[in-house]
Amino acid sequence: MSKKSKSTLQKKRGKYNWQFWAIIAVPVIYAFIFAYIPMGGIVLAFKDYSIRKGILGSPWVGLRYFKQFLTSTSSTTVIANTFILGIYSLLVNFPFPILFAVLVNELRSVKFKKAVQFVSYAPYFISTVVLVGMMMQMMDLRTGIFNKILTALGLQAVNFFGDPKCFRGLYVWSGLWQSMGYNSIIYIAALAGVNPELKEAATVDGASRLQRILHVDLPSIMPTIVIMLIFSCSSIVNIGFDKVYLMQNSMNASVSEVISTYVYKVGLINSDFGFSTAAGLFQSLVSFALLVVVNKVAKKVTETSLW
Amino acid sequence: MEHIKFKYMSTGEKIFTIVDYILMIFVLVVIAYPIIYIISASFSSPQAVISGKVVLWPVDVTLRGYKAVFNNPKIMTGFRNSIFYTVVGTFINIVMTMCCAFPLSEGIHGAEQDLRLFRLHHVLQRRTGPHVHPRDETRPDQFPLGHDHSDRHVHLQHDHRPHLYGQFDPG
Repeated sequence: MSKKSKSTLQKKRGKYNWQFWAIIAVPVIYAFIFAYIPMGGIVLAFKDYSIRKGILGSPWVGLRYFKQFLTSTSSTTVIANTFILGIYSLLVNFPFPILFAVLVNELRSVKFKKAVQFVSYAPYFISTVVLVGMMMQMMDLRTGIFNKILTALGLQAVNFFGDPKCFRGLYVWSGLWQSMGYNSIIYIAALAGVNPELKEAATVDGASRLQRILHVDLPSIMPTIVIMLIFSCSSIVNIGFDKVYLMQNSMNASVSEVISTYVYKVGLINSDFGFSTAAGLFQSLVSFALLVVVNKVAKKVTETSLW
Repeated sequence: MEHIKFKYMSTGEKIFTIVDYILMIFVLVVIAYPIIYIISASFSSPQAVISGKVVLWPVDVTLRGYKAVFNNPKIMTGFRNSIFYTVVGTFINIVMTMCCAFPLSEGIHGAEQDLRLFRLHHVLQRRTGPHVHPRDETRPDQFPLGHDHSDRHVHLQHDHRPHLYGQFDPG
């Protein structure tokens, strides 16, 4: 609000303003207590924590844990795994829902469209544990249906969960199977809002359907795409803990150990709180930096951004 | 837009339509098959599943698995707990986001600047997307507490928030 527009209106509004502040105080206090006070726990990353001395009484160690995390060979593998899995996941899980939404939007039969949408949303409502359980059952070396099919075709059976080469593919493509339909909802909604006059004008000008998609549909939903891309980029480093952890075993650990599972093992199982806090903080900082950078780039290039 | 009948389409459009339908049928089959398989497997006898007799439909239909689930007290406890967490969690979530969105959109002018950090926190938590509040200029009764919003266009000019289609949860 600029200074010069402060008028009688402003004063009139001020009479009731405290009520609005009272309402907004509820979530502010909630966030302060449950999100900002616990954030104080990150001092653990700079302290040699011992339970006897407590968080505040433990001696400071500076950036020792960060140096340890960024230089030790096991954690550099973990960081590399996290980035590779995150980028692979982004490259597959970002474009496919858009493509899917465009193709669904081009379907003529309303019934078939509804059927495709219904079936494609269904896997999203299966929980991660059940999904990984299904994968383990269907991809079992001897009893799984995939290996039954492979051997029936005269091919070698594949030990999907035991082969480090298969892990990333399994993780990413099962993720696409689960979330493609659900992620396409927002694009389908955006495509439904594309001005039909533009499409009609393009048709009159002799544009083919492919040209209408490329030159009318996609530019129209570009702001939505950019926002979703910013969100996805910030989650490159924040690979979900649960699915990786459930799919992990000793045979594929060399590629499946990511920062979040590593933090869990070092921090909660080996009780090395300082080191695991430093690793977790590193992950959050990288993720935040990515969000800021991608947002800046998006603002420059497309004039669409989060803030 | 009026759809053109298939027989009146140009060859290119016909090919496009056919390829589109084939791709969608492929996607439909690939997505539906594991779900159907797992439901069939849950109704089939364990021997049939292990020996690979179950391909699409249930073999040797039995409800043994379901009986075991419903007789297991731990699973029922877990189910009750998850319902509790979902109901209470959703309630708190909706109350908090509403308490946040209502004053920001209707009441506190200029507060969006002050509370930008707070909103950023929510964006990072991916609880809420940036909110949209379409307003009908012709209906003064939707502004509560007798506020005069006639100067709000001044405020909205500085509003560069992205406009998404309501709330969403991309995760």
